Amino acid sequence: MNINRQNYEEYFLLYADQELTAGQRKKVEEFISNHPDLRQELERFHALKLRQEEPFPFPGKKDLYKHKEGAAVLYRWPYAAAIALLVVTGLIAVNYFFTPSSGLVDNNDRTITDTRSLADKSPVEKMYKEIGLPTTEPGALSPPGSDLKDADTRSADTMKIDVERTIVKKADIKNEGLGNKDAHDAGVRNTDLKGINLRNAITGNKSNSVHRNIVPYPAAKEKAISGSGGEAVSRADSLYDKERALENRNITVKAIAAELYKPSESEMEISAPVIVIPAPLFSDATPIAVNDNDPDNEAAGSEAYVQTKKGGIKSILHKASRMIDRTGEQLTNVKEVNIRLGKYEIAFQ
Amino acid sequence: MTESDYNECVDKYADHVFRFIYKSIGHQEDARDIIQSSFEKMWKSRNSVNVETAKSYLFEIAYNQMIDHLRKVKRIRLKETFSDNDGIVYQPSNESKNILELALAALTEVQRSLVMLKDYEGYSYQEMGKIMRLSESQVKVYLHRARMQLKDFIGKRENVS
Repeated sequence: MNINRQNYEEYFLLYADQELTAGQRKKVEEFISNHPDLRQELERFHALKLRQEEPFPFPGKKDLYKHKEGAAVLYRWPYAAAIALLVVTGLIAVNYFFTPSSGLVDNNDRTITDTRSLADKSPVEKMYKEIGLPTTEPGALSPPGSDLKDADTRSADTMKIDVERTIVKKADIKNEGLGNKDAHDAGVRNTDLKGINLRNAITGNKSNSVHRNIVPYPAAKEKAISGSGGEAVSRADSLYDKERALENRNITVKAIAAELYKPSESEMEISAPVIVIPAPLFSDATPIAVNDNDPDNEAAGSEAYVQTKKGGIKSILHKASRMIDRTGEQLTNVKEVNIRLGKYEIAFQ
Repeated sequence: MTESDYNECVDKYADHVFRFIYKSIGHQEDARDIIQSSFEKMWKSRNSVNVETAKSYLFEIAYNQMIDHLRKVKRIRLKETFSDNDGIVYQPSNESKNILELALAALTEVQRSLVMLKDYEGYSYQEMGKIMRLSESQVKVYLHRARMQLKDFIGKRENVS
């Protein structure tokens, strides 16, 4: 390092920037000592340096931090997701296992104590009581399929008793001295209804359990009602008899359906109208349920059947009025007949 | 670099980097954006950043971002000269109170950055060269020219006054 008057500025700048070694600084200081007129020049280079001023805070510093709280939340979210998943799974499981439609509800534990008197019982139950059929007992509410199980496991002795009851009941009705036609109609109805039991007892038809258990599920009800077969129609001798059997079937089916399934207020507003005929109308007539899909039901495809089926609500009302007229002739003591359409009830005198 | 190291860097260096950038470009909001993006970049690459060199790394990122920003501003200013449209124009800070700051504003961007890195942050020529991607001899020459310009500027002002 050779400092002189031609190159001193460079060394003075390096001296001011502290870029010189200790030995080089010492040589600069010696040069200043030898040339005191240049000391002011060295101080001027020092004065050119920027001074550390007051703090210069960055306004957005807090946005730069990576907060530990945020990191903790980041680490915690999988646990929160797992908990949420568990809750959702639990809800689904509860909904699945404890919903009747799932078929997994343990209805065997259901017991209902029937404290009603005979007068309080429903028309259908009265009908069953009057014709000697085993009515639905309290606690017989069973899940879908349990009635099938009952039918399968039913003993042959019990079947035999049903058959005997059917035969005896049929004979009693024939001996009541009714007219030939009425006796025949009653016979048809009773025979058909009893015939269900007879035939089911022989063939082991599972649908006979409808007389034992009222199944509280729509699908089971449908099956139970339709499972009664079309014997009434198929056994009718004439077209007139078939029509009457169909009328009886329609009304009875509706009556049973209405009894088995009582819709709520909201359901009643959108459900199909249901006609409920009071029990006295059936005091001497047994309800008949006809299965349209039964291959033995010869009337299912007949013209009369089709015409009857086409009527809809109008036809049902018409048939109901005709039924009331006919039964009114027989039941002179009945002064008033009530027809319930959904949530409406119409009284006829 | 851990999270705490990063936060510590924010505590230590955010103000310094901000001063360096703000005094370089003279626009607070732009300087703020540059600082935020610089720290974000350092956070993303924190696994490869050494704590001891974090400050230099941060200044290097900020300086490069500032250069990109100034190039963008210059393009806008060039278009404005043809369209006579008022827009975002970079202008040196008018907040300079003393003669030295006025002289500093008269320097080129590289000279100004070198002076600030040297005087404010105390970087060596070697470190400054690394930050600004210059050789040590280039730093020495550029900084020497800057100092001489400052000396001349201040000398002229003193003669005028």
